[in-house]
Amino acid sequence: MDRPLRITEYGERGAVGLRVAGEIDLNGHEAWERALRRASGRGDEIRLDLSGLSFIDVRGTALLVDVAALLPEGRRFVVQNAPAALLRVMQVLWPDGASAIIFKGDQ
Amino acid sequence: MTSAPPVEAEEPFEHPALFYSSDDEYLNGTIPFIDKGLSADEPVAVAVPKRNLESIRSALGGTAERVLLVDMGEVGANPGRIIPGVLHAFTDAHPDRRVRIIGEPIWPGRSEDEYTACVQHEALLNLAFNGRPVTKLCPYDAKGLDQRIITDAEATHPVLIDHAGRRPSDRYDPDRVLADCNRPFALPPRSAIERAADLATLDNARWFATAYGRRVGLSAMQLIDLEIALTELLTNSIHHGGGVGTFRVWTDGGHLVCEVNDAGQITDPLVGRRPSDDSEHYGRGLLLVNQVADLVRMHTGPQGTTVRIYLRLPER
Repeated sequence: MDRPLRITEYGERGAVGLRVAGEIDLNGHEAWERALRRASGRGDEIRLDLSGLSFIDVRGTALLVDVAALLPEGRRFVVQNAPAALLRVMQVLWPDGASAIIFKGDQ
Repeated sequence: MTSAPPVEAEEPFEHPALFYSSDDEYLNGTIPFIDKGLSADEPVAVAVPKRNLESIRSALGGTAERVLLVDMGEVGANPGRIIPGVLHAFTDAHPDRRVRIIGEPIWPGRSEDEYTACVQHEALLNLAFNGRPVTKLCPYDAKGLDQRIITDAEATHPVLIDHAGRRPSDRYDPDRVLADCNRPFALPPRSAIERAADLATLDNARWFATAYGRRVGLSAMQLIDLEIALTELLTNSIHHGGGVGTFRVWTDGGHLVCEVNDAGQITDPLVGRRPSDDSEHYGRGLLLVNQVADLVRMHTGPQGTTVRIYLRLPER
C-alpha cells in the first residue's frame, strides 16, 4: 500500500532516461519535476520507463507536458509502459497529444 | 458575481430558449435558425438528444454535412462537461467569428440530480459566454417537461421563443438560479464509509476507494477514473481546504457515489468548466473530474465545500 516514489537515472549504450516507480501525487511533484528537468539535458531521446509507476495525477502529468514543451527542437521524451492513469489523464486533458512526448510499450 | 444586463442589443452573446410543443414546432424553430447561420457563413453546431438530432438531420438533407451534429445524450450526459467539452471546443475552434449553436441539455427523463446540474449549466452559460459572439438556442419540450422546468428556463434565458413569437424574459435571473442550485446535499446513507485524508494518507485514500469500487463492481476504466477523481478532489482539499479532506463512498442503487468535504470555499462559479489552457491547477483537477464522472454536484459556502461525484455501476 505504501509505494513511495523512486526515480533513478540510467544511461547505457547511448540510451538515457529515468526509471520511475511508486506513485506521483502531491508528495512527489517536486522530485518528479526536478528529475524531468535534469533528464531533459541528457540526450535527444530521453526514455521514461514507467513500468513501476502505478499512479500519476493531473499535476504530475502537466509537469511532464510542460517540461516536454520546453525541450529544444529535435529532443523528445519516449514514455515506456505508461500507467493507465497517465494515459487517461492525457486522453481527457490533452486529447490532441503533447508535443515531444511519444508513448511506447504495453498499453 | 453580477449577472449580465437583461437583453441589450449590443450584448454579443445571444441565448434564447425555444419552447416547442410538437415536432413541427421543433423544426420550425431550429431549421431556419441553422439556415440563417449557414447563409451568413457562420459555423453551426447542433447538440440535442438523439431523436431530435435525427429529425434535424433528415430535415436538413444535403446541408447536414455543413453542420456539426452531436448526440447530447452522450456528450452532455454529465451537464458539467458541456461548456468545456462541447461549447468551448466549438467556439474556440472558430475564434474570429460568430458561431451558432443549438443545445438541448434538458429532456423528459433526466433524474432530479441531473436536472439540478442542467439548470445550473444553463445559468452558467450566461457567465461563460458573456461578451462572446455566440448565438445559442436552447430547445425545451414544453409538453413533456414540468412547468417548473419551463419557469427555470425563463430565468436562465434572456429571450424566449414560442409559437406566439419572440419576447424578452421578464423572469431572467441566472444568479438566483445559481444560488438555488448551490444547496446542501441530503445526508449520505448510514451505509456510507467515511475516512479523512491528508498529505500523508493520500495514497491510502486511493487504495481504500479503489478497493471499495472493485467490490461494488466498477469496471477497470472506472476504477482508474475513481482513483484520479478522488485524488484531484483531495488534492484541492489539501491545497485549499485546510489541509485535510473527508471522503465518503456508498452506492445508491445505480451509482457509486463518492463525496469529498473540506473547509475551503470555491468562489469561481465556472470552476472546472473553463478550457484546460485557461485553468489554474485548481480548476484543471475539477475539469478532469467533470470529464470522467457521470455526474458532479457541488455545495460550497463559508461553512466549507462538498463535491459529490457519481459513477454509474455496470449492469449485472
